[in-house]
Amino acid sequence: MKNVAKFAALNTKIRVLERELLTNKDYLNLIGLNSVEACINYFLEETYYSKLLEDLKAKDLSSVENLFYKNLLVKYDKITSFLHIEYRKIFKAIFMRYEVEHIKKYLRKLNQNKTVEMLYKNFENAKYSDLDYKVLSSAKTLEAFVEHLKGTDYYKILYYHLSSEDRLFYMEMSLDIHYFNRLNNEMKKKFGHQKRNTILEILQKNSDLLNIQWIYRGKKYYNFSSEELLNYVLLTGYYFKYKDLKSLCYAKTTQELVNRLKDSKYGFLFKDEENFEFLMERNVERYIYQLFKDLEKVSTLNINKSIGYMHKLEYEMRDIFTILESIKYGLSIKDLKNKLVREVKGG
Amino acid sequence: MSVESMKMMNIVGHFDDFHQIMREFILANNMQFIDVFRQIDESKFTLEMATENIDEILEMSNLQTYQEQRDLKKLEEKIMLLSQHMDVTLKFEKKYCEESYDFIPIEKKINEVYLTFEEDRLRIEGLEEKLARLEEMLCVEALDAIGVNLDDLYSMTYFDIMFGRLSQENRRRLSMNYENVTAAVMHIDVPKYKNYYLVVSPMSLKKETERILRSVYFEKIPFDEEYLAEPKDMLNKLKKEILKTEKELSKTKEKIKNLEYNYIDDIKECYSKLIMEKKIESLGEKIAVTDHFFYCSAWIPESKVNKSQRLLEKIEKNIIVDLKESEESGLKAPTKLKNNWLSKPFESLVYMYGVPNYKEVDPTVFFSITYMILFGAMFGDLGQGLVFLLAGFYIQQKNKMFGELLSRVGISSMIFGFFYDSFFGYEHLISKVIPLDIFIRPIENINTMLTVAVLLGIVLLYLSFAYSIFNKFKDSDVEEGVFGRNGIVGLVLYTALLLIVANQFLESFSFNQQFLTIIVFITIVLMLLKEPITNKLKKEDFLYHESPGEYYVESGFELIETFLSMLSNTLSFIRVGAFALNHVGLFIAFHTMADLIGSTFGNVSMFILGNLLIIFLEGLVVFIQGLRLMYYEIFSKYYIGDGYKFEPSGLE
Repeated sequence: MKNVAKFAALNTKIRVLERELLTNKDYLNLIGLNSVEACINYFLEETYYSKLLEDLKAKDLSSVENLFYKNLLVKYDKITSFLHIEYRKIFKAIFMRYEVEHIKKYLRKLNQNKTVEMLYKNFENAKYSDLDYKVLSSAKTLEAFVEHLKGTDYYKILYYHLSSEDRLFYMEMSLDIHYFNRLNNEMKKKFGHQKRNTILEILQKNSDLLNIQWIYRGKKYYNFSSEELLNYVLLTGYYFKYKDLKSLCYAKTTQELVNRLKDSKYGFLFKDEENFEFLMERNVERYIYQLFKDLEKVSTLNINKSIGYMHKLEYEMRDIFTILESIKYGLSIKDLKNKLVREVKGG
Repeated sequence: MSVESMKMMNIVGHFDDFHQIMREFILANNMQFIDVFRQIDESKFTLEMATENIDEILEMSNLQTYQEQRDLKKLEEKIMLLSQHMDVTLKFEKKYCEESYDFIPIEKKINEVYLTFEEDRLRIEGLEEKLARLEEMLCVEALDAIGVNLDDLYSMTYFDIMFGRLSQENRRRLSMNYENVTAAVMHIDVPKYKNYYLVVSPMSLKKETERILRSVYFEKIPFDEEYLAEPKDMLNKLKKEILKTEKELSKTKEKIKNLEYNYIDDIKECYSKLIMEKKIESLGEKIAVTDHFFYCSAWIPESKVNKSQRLLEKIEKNIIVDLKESEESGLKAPTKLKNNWLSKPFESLVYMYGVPNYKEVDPTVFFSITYMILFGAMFGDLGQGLVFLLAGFYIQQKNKMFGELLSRVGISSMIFGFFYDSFFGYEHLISKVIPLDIFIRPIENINTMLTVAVLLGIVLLYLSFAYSIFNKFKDSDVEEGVFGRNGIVGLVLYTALLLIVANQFLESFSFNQQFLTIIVFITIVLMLLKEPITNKLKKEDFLYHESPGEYYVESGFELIETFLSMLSNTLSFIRVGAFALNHVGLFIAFHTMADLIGSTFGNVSMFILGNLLIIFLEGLVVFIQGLRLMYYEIFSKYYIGDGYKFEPSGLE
């Protein structure tokens, strides 16, 4: 009974919102179009995104992207008003991701001594964020920017790396780790006592996959020492615990690492001997997307449906960006389909 | 007593006088500037065609908004910073702006004072930073147990030494992979310095070590070379240096404090003038300027017109002032209520419903008297009314409006309480002191109380009918004023219905029933046909705004609603009597509980508890019920409240 009070209204709202997502047919149609403008017209005429894109002024990619990002925050606000108070913290943690993304964008620009005055200029402070974008955008140097963050969790992290070499890399890395640890803590607090929790499992599997990508790339391209690799891994994995990760980090060569991973639960990532590296990111996303889709089948009255929805929305946004970009640069339909998180059937 | 009448004042003057005129207007605080461009666009801003006005008229083809050239924001920041350092709170003070002045020297002065402070401010910042560094280094105390000269340690050729902090969690992380770390990590196990570590690594592996340490967020604490020595000596040296720095710091701060005495008046003056400049700047967008003239329009209460005109004459004779009646301006005039001291606080309760529009009769006086009566009748108690009165006086210092409101309803409650013979819930106490036969105790006269309440309601409803009819006629709305449910016809219907009811229930009362029935019938027909009749009277060429079918269905339902609301509006006032009873009833409950406890302590505690509960809870309920009666039963009859407040452009 308790769960009815907590989730009945929320899940009904989610069901309405899910209806607004694109269908397989929409994707097929979009892929077949031959210009960005045609795609935008399709959105305007055939989909629920027409409302969103109504006040689009310039029909270029970056303004479209901005609107989609804004959409995400609007949906977040919508959901939180239906959310039971004890779950708001989790949603806030999930959305910290965007806060982190925004901070990274600031950092990158400032590190190149570019101005950030216009960045997030008209950004209304969303419910999920305590950052004051107006103040942040007034920073002229990276140091000043970090100073503006005083009082937030980010300050300590960024301040620590302020004077190290390659500071941008370490700052971004630490922000990501901070985000994942925070999310994981919130989830554990809420679901940790349950014997099995699908949402927590997905998060842990996601940690596994991120660790794999980090170790592989760090070894192959960046030549990090094994110790450093190990110190930056996320210790919140599902299959890979500290010991497993340690042995992966200390693999002598990249080939040895790949061989070991091939025998693991995530062997599917390395099945395609030649292209696995090129397809790795997509495969990871596709895998997680599938996990969220599987969630629907067992979902009853709990928080899963809404968390699932937010991720579906996020993946939809990524696919839309992929489609628009691919069409802009004239990729073939086959290549385009290959790049999408979802598998578009038919056509 | 009423809504003050407003004039529209259009002013054209020489731009040289602009600053002075605006300053005087802002100080006078009795004009509400409006966007002059709207007046000009609607051709309401007219100048008399005369030779002496020719320049002013010609230049009107070349209007621009007034824009401030200076960057006032930077100046304000500087002043705020100064005030922070000198620890003074700045307030706008009229006296600095009464004389006319030039702002450029002020600006200079602000910059000058700022520069004087700047040097010392930077010095303080530097010293504070140094102090923080020195204090951080105090942790060298932790190394005391090792008993090694740090100078020797840090100058080794083949080994690198690092000292610093590591969090518990990251320490675990480091230790899990300790076999692969390229350094010896020594935990300094001194109680005060639990998380401190000394790291020794070969010079050749320094880079790797640093990277590993960074990945676990090791916070390195570097020691300045000049202090390196035996930990004990170092500590002494550091402490000495800290004392020295602190002394210097307080000396510099003292210096700033002394400067404060020299400059405080300057800063206060600059601040007030700056605020004035900002206000003029903010009004700027409503004002049009050309190369030589400025043009502005403002609402001004009629009573202040003379004062403003005299003010303008004093500054410069050659200013064109054009006064217009509010109707001529083509805009809705703002409302400024003018009420006596008794009704004034009740304005806020009226505003809660809506600001009366300019043409409406100000309902505040009626509201205030009625509300006080209703509140007193529902919450009549001499003692508790006194509590409200005193609380009102106290609150007045913080929240003037609410305090005054509270003291007024308190007085009303006291008056009713006296006649109810109730003092902090004890009845028959007042009558013992004053043995007269003027008391009416609610609980002993239940029927009288309820009947009087309804009669009071009927009187109030009649008054609101009167208000409504007056307002409608003032607005020349014949349809509602004559035929509407709150118009004359409605009034007749209500009277007839009351008489019919009186016929039924009062034996001593008899009125011709047939005549009444006919009147009711006629009024119903008139109300049903109000739109076609009005249009016929006005000689319009249409009878209905919509299709006749729709119109009759709508007005049919409206008629049913009219009957229902007449009934409910009247009976609604029973609550006034009911609350008076309820008030006593609650006391009886507490008296009974006190009797049950029996002891003196029980009596006293129940007396206090009961009174507190009644004052706060019932006080709140009655406060709201009173509002409810006023808003729903009375205001809904005649009050529109779609105006907006007159807000003079001043510095308050």
